[in-house]
Amino acid sequence: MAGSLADEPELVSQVARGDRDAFTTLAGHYLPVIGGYAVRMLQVPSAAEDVAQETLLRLWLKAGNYNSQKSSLSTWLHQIAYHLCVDYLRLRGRFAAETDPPTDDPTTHTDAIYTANETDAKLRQALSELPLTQRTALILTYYQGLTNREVAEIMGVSVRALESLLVRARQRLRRCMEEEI
Amino acid sequence: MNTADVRRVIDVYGGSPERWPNSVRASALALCAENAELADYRANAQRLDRQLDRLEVRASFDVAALCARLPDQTPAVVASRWVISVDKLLHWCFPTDRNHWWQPASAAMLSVAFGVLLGWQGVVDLRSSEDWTTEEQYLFSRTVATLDTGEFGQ
Repeated sequence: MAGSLADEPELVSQVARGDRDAFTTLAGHYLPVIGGYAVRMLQVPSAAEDVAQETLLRLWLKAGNYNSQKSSLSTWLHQIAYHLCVDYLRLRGRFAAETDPPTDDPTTHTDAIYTANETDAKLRQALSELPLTQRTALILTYYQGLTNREVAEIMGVSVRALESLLVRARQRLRRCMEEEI
Repeated sequence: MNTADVRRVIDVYGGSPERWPNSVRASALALCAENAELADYRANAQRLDRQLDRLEVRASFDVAALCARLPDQTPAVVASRWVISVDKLLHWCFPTDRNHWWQPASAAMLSVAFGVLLGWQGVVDLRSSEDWTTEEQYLFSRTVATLDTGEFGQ
């Protein structure tokens, strides 16, 4: 769950003025949160770490652009991370299409980053096979603890469209897991 | 709220009532308690939730490594320093105190001196690439001739 720190807008203002202590406080809270999201999205630990670090680096560089009236810091950071994940997955997809055979099999990484449990393997696989938008919607609402409105804002869709994505994601997972659950 | 609405809530939010919106939780739970098919549907969703809960991430992230990558200053600080410098220069050139009249005078003198220096060094070439002297002398002589003969204005 994302949660939030006390007086985040003030901390972000301090970061915009170059306060490293304020940044360390925010990074200490949000790096694992954004990292967890990136790991679930990308299933490649090194790429997830890059995305998490880049997201927080943008907080340092663009803190002056953050508007606390418009969205929470958690939403803002997740939005940056979401776009970085999409960029990474598109690049990987393009790279995989250009190279033969594929060299980066996500299933080899997932065992390392998720708690080892053989009975969960099928769900992991089903989750990784969900379309990107459905996977994003489910991960942001279920694991990151964001509201439907916040996730819709992050993904640039209406709340109604987001709910349809969640319904389809859950139906698909249930179908895949019918024998297991 | 009807059965279809509760199914929709379960499909969107899962089987755990704590994830449901506050506005529908009580009525949705009441309907689940009355309807066995709905209760079964919710139990199915809860099993999926439990599966999802077990997929925990074990990765760790190094805040110190991130802080080591930070540039010295944020762009906002650099920009604000530049703005402050320009602001100070403008205040010096255009002081509000009349006793500091020599400041704008010095700034003007400095600008003129800089312009003269540039011209003297030949940085700025004021000569045209084309020599119009002959044409100018011809036009001037025609004008004088016209005035002498009284043709002007006729």
